[in-house]
Amino acid sequence: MRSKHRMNVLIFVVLIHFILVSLLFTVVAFSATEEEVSSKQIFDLQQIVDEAQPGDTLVLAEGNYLGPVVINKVLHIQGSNQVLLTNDSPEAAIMIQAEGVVVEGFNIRQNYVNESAAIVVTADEVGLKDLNIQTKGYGILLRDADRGTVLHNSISWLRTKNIKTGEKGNGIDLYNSHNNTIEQNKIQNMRDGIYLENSRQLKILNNQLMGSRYGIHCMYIDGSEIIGNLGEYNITGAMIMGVRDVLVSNNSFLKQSKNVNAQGILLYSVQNSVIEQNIVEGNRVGIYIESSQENQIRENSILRNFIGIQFVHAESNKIHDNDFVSNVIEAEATDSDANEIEQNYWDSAQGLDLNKDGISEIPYAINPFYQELISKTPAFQLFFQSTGMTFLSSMYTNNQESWTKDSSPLMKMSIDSISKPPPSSTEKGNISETTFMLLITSTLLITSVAIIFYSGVSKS
Amino acid sequence: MKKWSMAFALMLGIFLLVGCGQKKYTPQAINEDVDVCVICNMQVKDDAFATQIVTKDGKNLKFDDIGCMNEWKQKNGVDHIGMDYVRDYNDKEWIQFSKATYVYDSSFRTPMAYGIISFKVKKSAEDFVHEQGTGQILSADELSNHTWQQSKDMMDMHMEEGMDGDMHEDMNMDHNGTN
Repeated sequence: MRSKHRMNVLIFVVLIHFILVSLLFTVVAFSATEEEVSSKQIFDLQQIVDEAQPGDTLVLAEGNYLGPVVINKVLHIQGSNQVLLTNDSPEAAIMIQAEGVVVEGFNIRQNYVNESAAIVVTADEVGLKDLNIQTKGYGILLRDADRGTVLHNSISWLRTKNIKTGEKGNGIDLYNSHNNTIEQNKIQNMRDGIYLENSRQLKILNNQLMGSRYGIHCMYIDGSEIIGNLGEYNITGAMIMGVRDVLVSNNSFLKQSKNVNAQGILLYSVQNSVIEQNIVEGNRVGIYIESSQENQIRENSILRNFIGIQFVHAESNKIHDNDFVSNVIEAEATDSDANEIEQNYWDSAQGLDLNKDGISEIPYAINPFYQELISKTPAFQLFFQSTGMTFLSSMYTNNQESWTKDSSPLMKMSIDSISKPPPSSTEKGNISETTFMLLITSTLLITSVAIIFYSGVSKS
Repeated sequence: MKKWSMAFALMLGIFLLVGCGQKKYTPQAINEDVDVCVICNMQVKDDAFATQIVTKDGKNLKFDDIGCMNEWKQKNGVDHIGMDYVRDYNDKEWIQFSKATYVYDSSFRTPMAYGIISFKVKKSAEDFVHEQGTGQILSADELSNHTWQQSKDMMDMHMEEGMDGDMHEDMNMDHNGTN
């Protein structure tokens, strides 16, 4: 009787197990078929474009299309998830040469290896929206193309993973293209996520940039705005070079630490720009500033970096109302005078606030002892925060007037940034990681219960 | 047989030792994973635009653009330079700065927009100019009189010739703020 009951339980458990495992596989298989667009018919997109009249809206039927396509009249091309444009030729999959073209909502696969691009735009006021681009070269190139919109696209690298970043192409690449808006794009594993050169008045908003060389790389883009972007696991989050009057605000650059030259934000030869309310967390260097003058760096959260902020030949910048928390070295300066550093919060500073205005009456000078020591002998990093190191640092007062100094440090953090969880990027392609783990753990649990129940020691 | 190889090894050893005795400034290969430009901090790509200075105390300084190397020389002088190298545009071979032939045009795209390309022999430089239909051939000496203007400024000057009026404001600012 008892053994029969056990048998039933075992069968039940095994069945449950099978159901769960098969469920798991159907989920995976389902998402795989979604990826592979039905391969029955292959359309010639160029022919469809040629037959259309200027001003037409083309709605592409589901299926596979072949590139390259040249669009030289005003068209609005709409696709769907089930439309795939493949291109094996060295030309771009789509070349847009007419003003006002809009292309949106389908998949593009650029298979040609090397200096090719999925989309090349050489006309003004072009819109590229909701495209899912996989490329073995570049993603989207804009050349002499003004006032365009690149919105909500996804661009990722298609070739093998173990390739040097230098051999890849850029995700979105602008040259001599002014007044463009690049918004809500998701770019992964490219050379530079967004590369901007010789273009003015750009708006780079709310993009996600992962695993590339530089998340955003700007050369000579005066008067542009870089707002609300997220960069993770790049060599450098934002590389901002040779610009004036640029606004960099509300961006998050996290976990840029894998490379020996990694930074959250790097400013080189930047003038008269504002860097505000960004979060730089867990990078090798949080903010690196070289040969830059007259910039405002304010209200940023600089958290858990190896070096919080580093100045090299940077003068007359204003650094105020930033939070420096849990950085190994808070600030480091070489040949950088006349920077105004005031009213920042330093978690390691000991302040004294007599008149209760939230500002310490004693300045905070950053002791360079540890930094100078490890720059000569890097192995001494082993002694970080050891009692001996703390003691020696406190003994060290050499040349104190030249230390980097905050004249009036804040007593409390100005921004409540710690409690705010950083935007996460864990969502995976097919099934979410949590569902996957849940399925695995539940099957394991059921199996183990069954084993204990069935073969466990019983007293009878 | 064994004797011979011993002798050969010995010879090689002596050869190497003798080699070490002389001061030689050899260029290092570019490692894209770790090499950044000493001046502008950008990753040095293993391409024909990379340049290199070997200092007298044996340090290899790498640059992503010959313009950055020029900037380093302006800042630090040339007294400490053991040897300076540029690369041939066609086969990326390291060549001495003083022996190379250069081609400049503001439309050539180089990493820091200085628009200068280097060649091992003058003939290939001439071929390149012919191919591109533009470009000014310069020797290393002539390069010292070069303006070292980045094409950012050049572009704005083109604009001056007749484009949107609202661009003029940018242009004026650029002229003050060259790096």
